[in-house]
Amino acid sequence: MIAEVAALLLAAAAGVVLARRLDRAAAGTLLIGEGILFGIGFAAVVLLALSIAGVPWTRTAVLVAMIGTAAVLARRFAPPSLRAFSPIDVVTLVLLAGYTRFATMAPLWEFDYIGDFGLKGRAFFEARAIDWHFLQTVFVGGVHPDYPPLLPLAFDFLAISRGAWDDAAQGLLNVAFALGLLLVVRHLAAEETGSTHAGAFVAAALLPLAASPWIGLAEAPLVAFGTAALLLLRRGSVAAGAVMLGLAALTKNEGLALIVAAALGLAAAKRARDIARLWPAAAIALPWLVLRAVHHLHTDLAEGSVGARIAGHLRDPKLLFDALAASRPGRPFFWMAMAVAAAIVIRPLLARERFVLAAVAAQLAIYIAAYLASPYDVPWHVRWSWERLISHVAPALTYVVLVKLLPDRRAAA
Amino acid sequence: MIRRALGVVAAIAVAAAAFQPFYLRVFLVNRARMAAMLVDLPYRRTPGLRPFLEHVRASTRAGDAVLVTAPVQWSSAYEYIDARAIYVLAGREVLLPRDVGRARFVAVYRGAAGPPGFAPLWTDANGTLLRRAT
Repeated sequence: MIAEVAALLLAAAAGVVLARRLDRAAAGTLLIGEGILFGIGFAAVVLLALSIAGVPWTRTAVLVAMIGTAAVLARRFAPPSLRAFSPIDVVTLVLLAGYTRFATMAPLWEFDYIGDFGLKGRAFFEARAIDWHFLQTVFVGGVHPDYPPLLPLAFDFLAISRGAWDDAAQGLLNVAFALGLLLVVRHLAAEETGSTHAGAFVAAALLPLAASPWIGLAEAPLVAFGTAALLLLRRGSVAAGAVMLGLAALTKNEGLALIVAAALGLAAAKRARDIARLWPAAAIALPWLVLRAVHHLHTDLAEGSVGARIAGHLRDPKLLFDALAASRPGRPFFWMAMAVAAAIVIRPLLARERFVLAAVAAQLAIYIAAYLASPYDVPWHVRWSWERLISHVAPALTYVVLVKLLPDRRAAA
Repeated sequence: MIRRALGVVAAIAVAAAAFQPFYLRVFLVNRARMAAMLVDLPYRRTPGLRPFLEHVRASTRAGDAVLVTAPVQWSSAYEYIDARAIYVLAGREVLLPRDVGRARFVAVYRGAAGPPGFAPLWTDANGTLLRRAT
């Protein structure tokens, strides 16, 4: 896996250059975390651009495009400095090592990898470009040709670096997404609480939420980009947050929904002026929307009469609510602990966390609206997706609850 | 002071409830055995399909049109097999049965009999690959 690790390091280095441009206030682990996430997104965008330009993917073409762009954007080389180490970081590192062992243990096994994200990545890799003919003609269900392509393109980035497709090595991307998000979380929590230990604690607590158990699926990148976007926007780093939002939208349709949810969150937090500053998110998401329309890639949610389906499901909402009630939103003890914890800090949460709370609520409302428009059997659709959808918003929600629970050393000082 | 302590206890409770013990237990599992289980997981209804398709992949070239077929009776068997064949045979064109006229190869999982006009190229424990007779 040396080639794949080297590719991820290259992407992270290019990403750090982008992060320095987009987030002047970023330093330490925040800069590295943003760099990892921006870097993987940047690599995917480079492959998308090369494909649109008709340039076949080769190691040289990708290297020239990435290093060339990074060199143009770089002002000076200054390695990011790290904040003080906390003993709690050892817990995170051990768990992350365990996650790495799991994610790279075998050729990726999830059916949605073999039948969707990995399949598209492998088909593109064989063609050394986005294979529009394949997307238009693939006949098995579950491929979702219209889904945004960031994850398959990220797989291709690793495969091009190796010069061959290696199923097991693709699991490294899950680790990189989790690491990128945890580094962002660690810095922001330390900054907010004034304590390195508190920052390390929040990162350790969020590891199981960032380290998605669905290896090779788009949940890991969506959680990483989406959570980083919400936390950066919450902090006031709007440009970096907007680019993260755009990368989330290039990962899954749920990421597109998150742009709307984040805008509603900003409105709820009386930051309407910042909504227009989300334009980079739309700019990153738009090319794929145009391409999928130009190439007539079908969208299952939009098939047939959407209005009739919504009206039909609204006539019998019990079906949906029963299905939601019967579904497992992750581990029950976790949500019980979250409910108790949120109750303890309910006042500061409602007073100061309107942005995240409103964005999460809006995102969940959009998910429920999507169920109403579903062309599938609703209980089946809910049963196979609700836990994953909840996993998209759980880390941001957990972060705001934890930082409100932990003592603020800055206030004490 | 009590409020602060309560907050710390609640934060620890959230972290404990979120904790994923598998990411520690994974150091103790038999890696080879678990990897073998995971490799076969997506193919569990069709034992031997993955090595068979890998063998077909090694015997064909990018761009070849391949029909994958199987004498299995259960409902949606073809979709199950095709969904996996398309992944393993990426770069080849995996055909629907109605397009057999365009096939250069026919891969018969757990069987040997192919359509007329095709001759066996090899047979292994999991099936037969036939090539269009020239």
